[in-house]
Amino acid sequence: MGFYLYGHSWGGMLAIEYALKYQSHLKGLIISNMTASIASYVTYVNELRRQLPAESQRILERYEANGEYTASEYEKVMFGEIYSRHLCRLAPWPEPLVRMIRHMNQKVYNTMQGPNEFVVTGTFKNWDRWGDIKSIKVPTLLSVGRFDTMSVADIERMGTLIPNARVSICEKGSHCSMYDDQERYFEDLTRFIKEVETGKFV
Amino acid sequence: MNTVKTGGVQMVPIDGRLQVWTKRIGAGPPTMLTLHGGPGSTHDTSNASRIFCRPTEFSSFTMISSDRATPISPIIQPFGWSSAFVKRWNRSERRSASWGSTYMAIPGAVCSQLNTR
Repeated sequence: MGFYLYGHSWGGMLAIEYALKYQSHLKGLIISNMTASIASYVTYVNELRRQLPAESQRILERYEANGEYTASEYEKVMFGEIYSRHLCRLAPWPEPLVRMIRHMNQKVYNTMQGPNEFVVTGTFKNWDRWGDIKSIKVPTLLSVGRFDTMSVADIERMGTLIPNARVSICEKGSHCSMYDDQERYFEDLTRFIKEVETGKFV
Repeated sequence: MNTVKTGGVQMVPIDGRLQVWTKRIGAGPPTMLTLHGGPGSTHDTSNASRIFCRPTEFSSFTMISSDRATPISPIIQPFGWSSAFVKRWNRSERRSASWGSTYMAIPGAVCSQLNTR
């Protein structure tokens, strides 16, 4: 009995929470593109931001100061220089991803996350499970993209803390590596399930 | 559930106040429950390719989503499970409850109601 629980990004946070409370129900856990605390995410995503050309950083600051997150110049930097490199590297984006962005519930996003991807002021800002994940004993797959908004080093650290974990790095992928490094992503996910199912996962 | 009529979609009531959109593909075991990113996003990223769309490699999986949920009470906006978390969070924060009890509630409720366990 038991089932596999898969969570991508914010879903990965939920999956970690579920595993910490109910891992006896799980056969396996898949944490996709999610680090173990919001602080870690914020640190890294702002590190990426500092790698932008100075002019792009100034544009972001200028609009953020006035809360103008939907200004076209602001969105041009976000989509053109951040999202196209770190959220999904395919061009054009696959239709379901575009649909997802279009259907995003901003009210929920703003309540939980905050105004944007760099500034987390919402209800989950203090989420931190670095000290707890060592108690996750079920077979665990940690997937991350090389160009992710999550730090690869963080995910590798999670892999050393969670005793029964394997790290899968999508070398061509970013935050949505199920799209931009589909081959690696699904190969490793499929192999993980097959090995757990046949008792070969170590 | 009549999967022919619904394409595997089932609304799962949470707290008697919200209905969470779920879609089941294939017939387990093994089963996998997929939780999409966000918060406030949709299940659409779970549409990606191969195993998510071709349940031959996995016998089944269930997606739960925030976008196609409808409220039971007409007073509440069309909220999904992310919103339900917000509501639970706001309630539990007043009670000083832990993160765990707040955030695992919905995957747990969905799993038990779909007999995924």
